[in-house]
Amino acid sequence: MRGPAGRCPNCSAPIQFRWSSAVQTVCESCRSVVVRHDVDLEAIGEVSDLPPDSSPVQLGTEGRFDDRPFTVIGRIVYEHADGGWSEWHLAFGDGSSGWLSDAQAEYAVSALVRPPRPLPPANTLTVGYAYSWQDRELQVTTLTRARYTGVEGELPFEYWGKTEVLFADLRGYDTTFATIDYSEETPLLFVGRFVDYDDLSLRHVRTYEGW
Amino acid sequence: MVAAGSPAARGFNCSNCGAPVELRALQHARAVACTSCGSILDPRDPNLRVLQKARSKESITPDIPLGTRGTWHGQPWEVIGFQRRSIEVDGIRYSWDEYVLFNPYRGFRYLSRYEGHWNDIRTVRELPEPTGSGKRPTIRYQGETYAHFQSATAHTDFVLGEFPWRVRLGDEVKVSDYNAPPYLLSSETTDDETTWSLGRYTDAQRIWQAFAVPGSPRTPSGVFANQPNPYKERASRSYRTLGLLLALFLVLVVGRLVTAAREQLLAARYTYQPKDQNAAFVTEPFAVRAPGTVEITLSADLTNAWIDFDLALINTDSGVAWNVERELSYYSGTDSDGAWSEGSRERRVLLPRIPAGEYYLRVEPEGEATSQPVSYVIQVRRDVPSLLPYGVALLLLVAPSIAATARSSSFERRRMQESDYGD
Amino acid sequence: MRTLYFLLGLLIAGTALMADTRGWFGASPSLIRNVPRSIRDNPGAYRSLYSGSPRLFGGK
Repeated sequence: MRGPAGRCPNCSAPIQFRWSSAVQTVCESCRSVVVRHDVDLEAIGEVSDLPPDSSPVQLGTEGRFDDRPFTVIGRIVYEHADGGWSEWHLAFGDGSSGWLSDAQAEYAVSALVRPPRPLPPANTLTVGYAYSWQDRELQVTTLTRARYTGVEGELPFEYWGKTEVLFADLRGYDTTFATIDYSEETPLLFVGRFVDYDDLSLRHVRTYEGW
Repeated sequence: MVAAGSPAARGFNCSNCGAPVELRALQHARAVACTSCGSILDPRDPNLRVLQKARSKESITPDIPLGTRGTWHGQPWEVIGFQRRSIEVDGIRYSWDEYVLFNPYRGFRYLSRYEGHWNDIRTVRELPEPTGSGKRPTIRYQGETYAHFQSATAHTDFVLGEFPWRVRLGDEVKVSDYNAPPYLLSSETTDDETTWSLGRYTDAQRIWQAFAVPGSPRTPSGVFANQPNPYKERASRSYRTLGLLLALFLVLVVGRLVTAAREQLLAARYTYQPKDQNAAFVTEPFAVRAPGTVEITLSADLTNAWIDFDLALINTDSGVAWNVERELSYYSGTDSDGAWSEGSRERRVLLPRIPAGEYYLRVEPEGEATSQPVSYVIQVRRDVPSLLPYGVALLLLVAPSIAATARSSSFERRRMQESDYGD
Repeated sequence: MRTLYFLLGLLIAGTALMADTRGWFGASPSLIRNVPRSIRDNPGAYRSLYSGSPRLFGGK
């Protein structure tokens, strides 16, 4: 489902949105963050080179989740005191959006959902806080203060220039995995589950010398 | 043909001793222990700052050298780190080894070794659910119930190579193990965060083959928490066979008891006169119609007396005599402890393998010369079943199942000795 | 292993039946052969193995 094409407002390099619902992308030539307003494109900033990382996933990687094919089209990189992780933006065949989280080669696929009840404000949140999702009991297991390091590719929203973001990870008694993202004014809830690398049938992944 | 791509390994020099250090886990390593001086360095720091200076301690050589690559679960994995940890129980230190395995796509796995027992471990993300808090608390994970085995504080004694977390010598974490052989679910808690991992008991030979480790693994000693019990299955299966055998045995015994002839050949009362010199006599002849056993029952209503019988079962035609001797006696009285009695007023003799034919009994009784006359009864029967052979057979039938259960229980007892619940 | 147990079990059961019907757990009588028919008329002439006081032979 191709998106519109245009020219980078900063360096005039050609820009082709691969995904029709993309709101933001990064110009590969000048690394400007380009936001799409209908047919108009606006350059709103620049991103520096992403730090060297070890994720085997890359833009253009294809895979399957629950029998639904997807393509990796974007990415947000975070870092925190003990490490970092990537949130890879997935475009599914039906046009919907998903996220593949890669934290030290532990993977989870989730999607933005509408919270069934209000999410707790950041200042009241503690480890152990219980939140139920579709009759499944979840608890907050980790609170992470992460630094937004950069973006790459196409994203379904404007996401740029953030500094520190609070994330709450929730887990249940099955593979259910959820995250509350406090980067926006209204917290966002993403729900999904942990997956093994081999469950995703990934193709066009990064290769490593000797592996 | 080596696949091109991002470099997988990079090298640098130890900031403490200058020796070359190799990093194999891409950007994932949070700590790397220099193989030369043992200092722990931060591989993410551009200056490779020293996180923990070396302490001159023993040098341990891992069974599987760092850098060894093997095919494990169908994928290549490389040994990148090694640590030795220990717990203290009742003043004794118990150590075990852990190996960190790495694959750029699948992340990290671990192998642990304790007294020759090996486990294949992976971190799990699902939370186990507490299900019971009795004597041994239980938790549920992926449909399986695990029982608490042991909790202790694990101390990091020695490290080598790379780790995906900031390891330090002297680190202490609270570890709890829950077992459901062949699986072991373990939790490690530091501060507020708890990490769970699932281990599966693995035959060391498989690891030696996968990683081409020279030599042979040592034989494990003792029973490990999640070591499968090789006798359990055997014991439970033996009970099914035993059940069938007992059913058939019951049919056989009941059938025999019901169909036994118990044919009475002679039943007569006699009197022994003590003063009689020629006490020997013969009975009327009787026919033993089929070969088998012949039972002679002697009974006398004795009161503080004895009577001895010299018996001969004589075949009229063949002239063969089967000879036995039995004594009846009975004494009773009262003393300081109360009433007492001794002896028996009835005895049975079972003569085996008596051929069919016509027989008579020659009887020679003898009693105390000064006693009263003794009245007694002699009864002869054939084909009387005896229960002793069936009792012995029952014990023999049950013995293998009991032995199998005993072996299985002994295994479990040895397993629990290492737990918080053993002796 | 189970078939062996089963077959041995059958053997044990069968042997028990034989032990019962043939009296393997019975007494061990001493045999005297060629007892003449005249003993029926003169029982005292039978040369018993147990002559003498029974007490010397262990009695009870």
